[in-house]
Parts: sequence; structure tokens; C-alpha cells
Amino acid sequence: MFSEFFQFTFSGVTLGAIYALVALGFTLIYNASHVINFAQGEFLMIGGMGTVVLMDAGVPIYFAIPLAIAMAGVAGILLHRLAIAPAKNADVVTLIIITIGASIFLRGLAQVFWGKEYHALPNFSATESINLGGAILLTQSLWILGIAAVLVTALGLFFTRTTLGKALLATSMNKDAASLMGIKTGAILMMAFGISAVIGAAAGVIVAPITLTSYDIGIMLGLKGFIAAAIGGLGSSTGAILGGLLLGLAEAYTAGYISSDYKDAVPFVIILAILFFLPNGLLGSRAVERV
Amino acid sequence: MITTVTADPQTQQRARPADDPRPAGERADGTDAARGTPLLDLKGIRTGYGRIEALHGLDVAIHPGETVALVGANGAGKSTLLKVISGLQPLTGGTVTFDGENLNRRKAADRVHRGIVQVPEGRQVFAGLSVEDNLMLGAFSRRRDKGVADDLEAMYRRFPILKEKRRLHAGNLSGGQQQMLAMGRALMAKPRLLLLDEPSMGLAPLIIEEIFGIITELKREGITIFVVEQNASEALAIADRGYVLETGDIVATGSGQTLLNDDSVKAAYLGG
Repeated sequence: MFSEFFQFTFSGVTLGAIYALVALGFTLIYNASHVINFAQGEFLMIGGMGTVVLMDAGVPIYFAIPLAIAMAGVAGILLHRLAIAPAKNADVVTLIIITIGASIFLRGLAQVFWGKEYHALPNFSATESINLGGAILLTQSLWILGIAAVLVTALGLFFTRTTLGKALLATSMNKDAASLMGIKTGAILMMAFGISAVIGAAAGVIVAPITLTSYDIGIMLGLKGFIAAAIGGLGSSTGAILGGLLLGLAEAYTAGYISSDYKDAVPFVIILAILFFLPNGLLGSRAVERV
Repeated sequence: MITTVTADPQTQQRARPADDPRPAGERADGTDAARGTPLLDLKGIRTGYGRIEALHGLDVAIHPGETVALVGANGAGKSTLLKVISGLQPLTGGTVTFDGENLNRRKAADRVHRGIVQVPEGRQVFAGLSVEDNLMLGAFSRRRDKGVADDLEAMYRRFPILKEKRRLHAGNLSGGQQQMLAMGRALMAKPRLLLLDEPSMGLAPLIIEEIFGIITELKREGITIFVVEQNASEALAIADRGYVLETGDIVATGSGQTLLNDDSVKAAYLGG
């Protein structure tokens, strides 16, 4: 009984960590530009599929992973340079539609050049699972939790300890005032796209040994990440992490105690409830509006 | 046009070389070449919002070390003119020349690196960042400069209240403290030209006195200042020269004292 609960909780937290990373990517770009980047899921795909393709080409895994993540980072910067920046005077809704277009485009490219098959990445550790008090824990889950924790900490330090991180925050709070500080807000936004692509790709790589990867994993993971961000209240990093974990746990408990058929419906039920009862999310911006 | 002799004797001295052959009235009108090359030279400035033109081709010159006030009613285009200088508002005509360089195509951030620093209307501090972070971001354009840490200490000596509150979010400060923070933040960039947009807006009379005291202090330190104010009497009292802006056109210019004593300016902007 307890070991079952422990098992579900553990897989929920693992899944939640992935959603949290995706949600952080959404949050970062949303804060810097108020754009909801629906191409965020494709960065996960580029991370996972890029690693697979590079490994097929004979690149050892410890080079393939950073290369694939760097590739996603470049894709993020190009997305900003080629699709978002040229439309700088467009309104936010137009920009959001552009990101949907970009996600279809990226998915199409992956389908044409990398194929439609599902691929598995090898586990990061040789031992696949360990038995802990009757529950079976995948070692890859430990990798996921560890790497997610490192990424979240690094991002936190970036925002609280570095001038560039603070410049990004300042840009998100007041773009005109930021440019009056000499902050090149266009470059800052480009950096936000790059960082959020890197975080997304890292999530895509670490989850690939468990969930498999293919050209179209970005749709579902991207949507769930967006829901996690919305649960937390778009724009709050803490909220994104919280939303991700809540979503992961809700999915795992539903799959475990009710039926795994309903697993994918959970996020959508939750988002409806949030939109009805807490439109600003759990930690959404309430207080900052000043007259 | 109201064009008269500068009242501030110091400015006059600097402005008028002893051997200048022209009569005094011509020499000291501010846009005259007798002052040497202006630090900021605006010629034929036109800009607007959509189809509505807000500034109809105006000329302004600011010389090194001067404090110049731009006064006028709400909606006259004062803030628009400041945004033209700082690069937030695109031009539809005319040229912005700073220290001999045409800045028309330079973005706002580039202009900060050249020394044009604006304190925006309504303070616009970064509410969710600490007071200290706000000040440090002011020095963003010189973030590789080793002197920034010393300047931060100097800024805390100038504004002791900011040191006291340095860990607080800027949004928690009072209006007057936010104005000091906005000015401190701008000073951290080591401006060659400081643009102040309505520094007294929304502040209590005592605080306004304090803010103008600080501006006078900055003036004494030799910083070139361009201040835009609805509070015309305070602004003209500390200014070497002033311009009066009315619906997008400069309608009067002269020394601060002259404008203060001018009957038509009095009637229109100083409450009779």
C-alpha cells in the first residue's frame, strides 16, 4: 500500500520535474516579451532527437548531448532573429501565432530529415532500477531530478547574482526604462529565447530514456509544460516549478489509482479548473499593478 | 519671441568671449554660436503619434555645463521631446546631434553609452528589484568599469535614505524616494547630459523642494541638465535658460529669470 503510494509519488515528481523545466522555458520568454512561445516543446524534441541522430552518426553520448542542446539553443536564437524580431511591432497575439507556425515548421523539418520513428536513448547509468522498500525506482528518474535541480538553481543564480540576469528581469518589468539604462532589450530577448531553448532541450534529453523520443513529442510535452506554467501563474518561476510538480503528481496518481487511460486528460481538466477559479494561477501577478 | 540677456553672470562670462564684437542681446540668446559648439543640438525636430504631429520642427541647443528648463502645459509635447533625445521616440524630421555626432539612427541603449541618460516620467524604477539592483542597473552601460562600486558608495552618501533601504524592493519606496532612486540610477551611468522628465510629478511640496535642491547640487557639480517640468516656476528658478513649449512649438526662450518675470509666461504657466 505505502510502497505503491511511494512509487506513484516518485514517478509523479519525476514527470513534474520535466514539466517544471518546460514551464520555466515558457515563463522566461513570457516575462521577457509577454509572448507564449508554443515552439517551446520543439526544443525538447530537438534535444532528444538531436542526441539520437548524433549518436547514430557515431558521436559518443557525452558529446552528443551537449551538442544537441547547443543546437536547440541556436534554434531558439534563430527563432527570435528570423521570426520574432522582424515582427517587432506586431501585437502579442500575432507573435504567439508566429510561434505556433514555427513549431509546425520545426516539427516538419524533423519529420523530413530525422524520420518518424520512435527512438530510445540509453539510460545514463548502467543500473536501470533500484529497489527501495518495495518500490522500483528508475535510476534515470534520479538523473532527471538531479539535473532539474541543478538547472533550476543555475537559473535562480543567474537572475539573482548576475548583471545580465537582472537586466533580463528589468527588461521584463519595464522595457523602455531598461533601454534607458543602456540595456539592449532586443539582445536580451534573444538571450531569453536561447536560454529557454537550452533548458527545454535539456529536459528533452533527460526524459528521452524513459518516454522515448520522436519528431512529435514536442506537442504533448509543450502543452503540458504550458499548462504547468499557467497553473503556477504565467510569469512566476516559482509558480512554474510548483505547477509542474502538481501536474506531474496529479497525472501519476490518476494513472496509478484510476486508470492510465485518463492520464493525458488530467492536465486539461486541471487547466479548465484553474481558468475558472484562479485565472491568475497559484502565484500569478496580483500585487504589482500600481496606479 | 522673447529673447533676452542671460541673468546668470557665470554663464554670461563663459558664454561671451571678451573680444566678441556683437551686441550683448545677440550673443547670449542661447542658440547662438557665441557659446561654442552645443553639446546637444536639435534642429527642425518633427515627430508624432500615428498621423498626429506632436512636435512641429523645433530647434533646441544645450551647451556643456548648462541647466536648461523646458516648460509648458500638459500635452504640449515636453515629454515627447525628451523621448526624441533619449531615442525612445522616432523622428519624422530633423536631426539630433550630440557632441558633434548625428544620433538619428542610434537606438536608446546606444545613446546611454554615449552619455545621454534620461530619468523617465513617473520614475519607472524596477519595482520588483531591490534598490541596490536598480542602482547597479543604472551603471549597466559601464558594467566593466572598476569604479562602479565606489560610485555606488558615493550614491549612498548622496542619498542616505537609499542606503538604508537598499535591500527593499524599489516598489516599496515612497514617491519621493523612488524619484531619488530614479535620479541615483541615472547618475550611476555617469551622464554627460542628464534628462529629467517631470521630476516633481505627483510629489508633496516639501519633497519637491528636496528634489530641486538635488538638481541644483548636480548643476553646481557641472552636470549638463535638461529638465522638463509643468512646475514652471521651480524649474525656471534653477535654470540658466528656459524654453516655453506650446502645442509642439517653442514660443519663447530666454534666461530662466527673464522667463520667470515675463508677463505672458507668468499669465500662462505661473498662475498669473
